[in-house]
Amino acid sequence: MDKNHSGIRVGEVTLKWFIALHLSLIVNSLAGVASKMAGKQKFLSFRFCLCYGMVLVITFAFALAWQQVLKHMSLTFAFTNKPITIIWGLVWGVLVFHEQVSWKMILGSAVILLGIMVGVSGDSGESAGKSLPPEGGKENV
Amino acid sequence: MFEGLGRYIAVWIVSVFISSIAQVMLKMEANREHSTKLKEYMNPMVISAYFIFFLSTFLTMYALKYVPLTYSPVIEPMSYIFVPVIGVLLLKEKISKRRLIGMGIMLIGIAIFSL
Repeated sequence: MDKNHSGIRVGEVTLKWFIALHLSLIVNSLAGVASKMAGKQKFLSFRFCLCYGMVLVITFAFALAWQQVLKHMSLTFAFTNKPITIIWGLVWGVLVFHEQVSWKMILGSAVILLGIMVGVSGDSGESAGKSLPPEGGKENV
Repeated sequence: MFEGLGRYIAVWIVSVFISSIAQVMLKMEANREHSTKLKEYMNPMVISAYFIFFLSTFLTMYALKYVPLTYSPVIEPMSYIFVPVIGVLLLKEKISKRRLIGMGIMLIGIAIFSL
């Protein structure tokens, strides 16, 4: 938990670590972009290895960043914020791959996000962490 | 059974599912006592779990070749349903009422997304 009580706070954390948390989540969401790029390449080609390597590097970088941000907040707080990554999947799909998004998809995503936040925020930090480790499934929402 | 895009969506869901199993495997091993720190990581269960994570990255990548990335908000969060359910089945863990409500809301969201 963050012992520094000075400055602007967002919930239980300082603004600085709140931003750090969300930057790490944005980086994590980019693994999906790299994964899709890799999927479009010929298997084991140079570009494939480059894109798949990016998936692994991003996943590893996120694991390190996640470990650092967790020093400054409870697991519950971090896990309640983590699902925001799914929204970044929508954003990258539109911006990078020019995919179509309907209002039903946006509304459905918002409801799913709410469902995750309700479910995760109800647990103690310990159980949230045990049930949902940072891997969250490889390319990690 | 699954054709076209549905087949690749199914591959992605399988990827999320096996990844969820791997998470529960890590939890099962974490519940055990180990004589050394090294044995906490270097044991068949943990190594298998990480192999499954690795495999799931390939399955996801294969699926993403055809499935739009914008589908990730509905497929990736399925781990939030799979992990607790597998935890109940294999570890006899209990799901809190709040988490059940959250899972119900998620299912509604998945239905809206799929309309």
